[in-house]
Amino acid sequence: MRTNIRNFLLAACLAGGLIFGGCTEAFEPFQENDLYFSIYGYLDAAADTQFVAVTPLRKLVSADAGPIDAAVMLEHLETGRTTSWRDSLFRFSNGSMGHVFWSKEPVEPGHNYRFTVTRSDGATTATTVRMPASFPDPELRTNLIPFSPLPPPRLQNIGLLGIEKLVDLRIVYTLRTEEGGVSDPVTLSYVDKMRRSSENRLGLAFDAYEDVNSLFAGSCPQVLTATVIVGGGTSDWPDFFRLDDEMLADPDLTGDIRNGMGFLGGAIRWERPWSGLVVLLGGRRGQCLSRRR
Amino acid sequence: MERTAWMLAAILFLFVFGIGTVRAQSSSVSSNRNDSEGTVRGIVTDASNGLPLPGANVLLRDSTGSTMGSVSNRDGFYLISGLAPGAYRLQASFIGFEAYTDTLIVEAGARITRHIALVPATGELNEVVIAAESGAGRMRAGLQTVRAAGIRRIPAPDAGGDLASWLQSLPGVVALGDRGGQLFVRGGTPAQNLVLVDGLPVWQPFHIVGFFSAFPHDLVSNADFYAGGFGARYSGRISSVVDVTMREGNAQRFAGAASISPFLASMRIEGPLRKEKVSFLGSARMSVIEQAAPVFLAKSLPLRFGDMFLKLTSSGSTNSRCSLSALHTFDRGAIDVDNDDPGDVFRWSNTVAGGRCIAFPANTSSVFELVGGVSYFNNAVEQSMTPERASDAVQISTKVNLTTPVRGRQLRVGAFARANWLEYTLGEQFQNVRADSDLLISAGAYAELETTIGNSISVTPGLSATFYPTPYKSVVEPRLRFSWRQHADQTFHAALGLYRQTITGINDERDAGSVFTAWVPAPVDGAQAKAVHLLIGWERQIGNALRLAAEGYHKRLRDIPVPILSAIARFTTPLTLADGTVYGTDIRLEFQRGPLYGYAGYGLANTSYHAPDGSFGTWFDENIARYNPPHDRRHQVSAVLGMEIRKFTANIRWQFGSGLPFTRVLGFDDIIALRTLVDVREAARRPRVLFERPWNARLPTYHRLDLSLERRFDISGAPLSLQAGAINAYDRTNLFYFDVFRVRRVDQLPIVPFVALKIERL
Repeated sequence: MRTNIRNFLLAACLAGGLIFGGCTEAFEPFQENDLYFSIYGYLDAAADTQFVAVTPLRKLVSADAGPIDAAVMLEHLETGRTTSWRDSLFRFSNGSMGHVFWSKEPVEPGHNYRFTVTRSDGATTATTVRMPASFPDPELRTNLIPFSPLPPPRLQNIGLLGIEKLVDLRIVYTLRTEEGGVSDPVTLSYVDKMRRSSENRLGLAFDAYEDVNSLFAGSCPQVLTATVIVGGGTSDWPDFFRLDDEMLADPDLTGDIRNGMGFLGGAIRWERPWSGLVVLLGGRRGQCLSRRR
Repeated sequence: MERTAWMLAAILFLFVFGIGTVRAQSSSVSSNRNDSEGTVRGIVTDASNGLPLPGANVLLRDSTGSTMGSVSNRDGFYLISGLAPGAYRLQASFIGFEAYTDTLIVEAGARITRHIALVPATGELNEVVIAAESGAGRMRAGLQTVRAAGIRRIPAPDAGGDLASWLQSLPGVVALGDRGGQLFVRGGTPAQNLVLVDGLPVWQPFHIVGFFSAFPHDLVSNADFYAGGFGARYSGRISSVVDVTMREGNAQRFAGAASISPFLASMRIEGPLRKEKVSFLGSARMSVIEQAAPVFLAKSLPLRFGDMFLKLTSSGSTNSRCSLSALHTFDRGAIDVDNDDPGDVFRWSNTVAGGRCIAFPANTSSVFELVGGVSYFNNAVEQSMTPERASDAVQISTKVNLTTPVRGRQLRVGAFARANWLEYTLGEQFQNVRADSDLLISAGAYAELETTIGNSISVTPGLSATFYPTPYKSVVEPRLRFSWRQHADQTFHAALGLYRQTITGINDERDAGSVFTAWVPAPVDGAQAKAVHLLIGWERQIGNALRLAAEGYHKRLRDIPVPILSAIARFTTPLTLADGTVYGTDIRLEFQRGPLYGYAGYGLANTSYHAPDGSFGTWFDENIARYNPPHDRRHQVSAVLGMEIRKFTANIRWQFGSGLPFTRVLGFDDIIALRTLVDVREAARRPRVLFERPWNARLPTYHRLDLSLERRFDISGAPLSLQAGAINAYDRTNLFYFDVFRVRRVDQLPIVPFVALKIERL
């Protein structure tokens, strides 16, 4: 009886070892897919050079700073003119490296383009970009009456006409701080504050000095420069400015990029210094200082 | 859910009072009967060392031959009430001990205290024999009871067994891997398990090497494990209860043991401080795997753990027994030990100290239990590139329990008060829970009435109520346990209950290698996690040697805090609330004949989480409303074979588990936030992981064979045991988990051969 039990145990162990130890199941952590490249950026009808970030989908979380197997082309869909883009490697503000493709070929407002990224084996990621129509210069009003004995007005106005979808509205300031130094550029975004006053017009009234001063805890900073940036896009732009980081990572935000991820939009970027605002804010600073005393 | 709870409570109480009314009417003809009924109670001990014997059968037979009986509880305490005046024959028995017989004269209204000391039987039985009511095949509506010998049957790489290894051999208990000490019971998470040591909570008693816990077999007197459906005396957790009673020290003479294995070195001493009155038991264990691994495994295992335990017991009075216990555990190490950069290093420790008294005064038939103490837990992540994370939790608690016979039924009532101090710093791991400290005070009470209907049906309705000053709602939790012994060999069981948990542990389930748990008050919108358990089981003894049991269960979970699987390659994530459904079945077959013991268990389970409001997010145009969490092991098989031949004991365990969910990814890219018309040459990029759905694939199956062979020697009266064996005997490459963000697999331990030596002085 005991011999039988011992034999059984031995046989069971050997069988277990042979059967279970010998078979190893394949483990594949990656799912097969037809996504090849991730594309981020926009075509800017107002720029003389276009830049688009292109990243191949990879199997490591960290990006490879080596050469990229990609050829980028832009085709004007109305004329059929195709241009080939060049690649540069950039170091980004977070220290990582990546590829940005660029071209000096101008893009025209109101036209359509096809952007393709092709790997050497023919795998292609492509998207169509619709450019917005051009729009008149924004209307910037400080409401300051020259030589008036009245205190400088609190509210300023920005008016925009003919923009299909507003995708950017910022004022970038440089300031002298209370300690006397010049600050890094300070950006205040108003894109989500614009109100549509008619079908074709967007308007904003805002207290520029209060907005700046609140960033510096009411320390009455001196504004040295102010630059207004306005971005007009097309209706297919998502409201990126409303999204937190998690939402921005949602792959559903991919436009109509075929076999790829990301977003490539059409835009017109308008940028001007606003010297009148600097003058006005100088007066407001005086008021601020007198209140502090 | 609230309305359901109250309805259940109302139904239960109507049921209880209904039974009470019927019984009262039936006994109205002898209204003074209760006053004339006698009671016999006492403590059953092992005569060789004075230790209480839980699970002993105590029987009273009257002159007509009819019997009344009781089984001693974890303190060895038994109580038989409702005795008519007359002469009785008292019998007590426990496997491995000689039967005890005595004669009692019970007078009207007498309360007799009779302690029983059972003498060990001669021969080779000793501790390898398990009382039938505590075998692995016994499952009473989620409850399993285990004692030292049962724990020892499961091979562990040490000179003895451990409760952690025993628990992992049960169907329905899932360990993601052999490191981390995380146990998931029937779909619940580790933070939903209540672990009690001598009545006091211990937050994380399982060691970082998963074979071990603070409960080695030779320190455990008795452990009740409820996989669900637990009664009203337990509250504050929604998944399971492990109620461990630690052994007392030898009250008659000094004894001790020392052992060494590749994983652990341990020492235990015990003895009387006042003979047969006051005893002590002290134990210290320290891991040596860090030093031994290069020899035994030819690899480095930078894991440290250990524990210390001390228990003082006073049994000086005839009608009371008190003990003081202190437990300290510590763990430190990384889960991913195979890589040069092991990532996070985890550290945790528990300190529990308190006392417990039971008393059964001569002037009453009631039994009182008083428990009080403090439990501290510290948990942190060290040497990490991510922001510091740490969590401290302290609970000071006291409770009073009273068990009293009421007209042939047993009424258990109790009250408790708890003060929890929780402090946590989570960096940015969970975006809506960062750093805070909270004091949460609660008090409550419970009542359970164990009623027998005829000789075959036992019903125990119960109600637990917990009150919070602020800010949480006071809660009432109805419970019901039921059993029907159809005949001597076949029993049906059921349990139903509502459970709530206000203090919960949040863990980043996206990463199985992260065992950091932050204890926080209900972390999202103050919603208390809830569960409703329903269990229905069947158990049958087939002949003398075979026992078959099956149990089906269904759990509904509400407001479980879970992390959203973020697509951004970082460790931060928002938490959201999920509902869940768990259902499954456990089937067990146990065999015992002579020196041969066998056990086979199969568990089928399905755990799914769902968010009614779609708060898991939307991916690729699909609303993620439901997923199977990473501990959803669908199939589980466990088989144990043990045999004793002369001075040899052989144990074999084989485990199989179907693959656990993981997120199979499409790849990685970098996203640029186009909130403004940024210059893409300068804009910051964030790595993103792309997947179609979270937990959309399954890891390979897991299986492992563990072996141990023990030879006992007797050297000048000091037993010495030499144990050799192997964990993962056929060297299966079992995948522990796949780290999505680091793109690397982490495997469980390869074959671990071991030799362990233990010397004792009994």
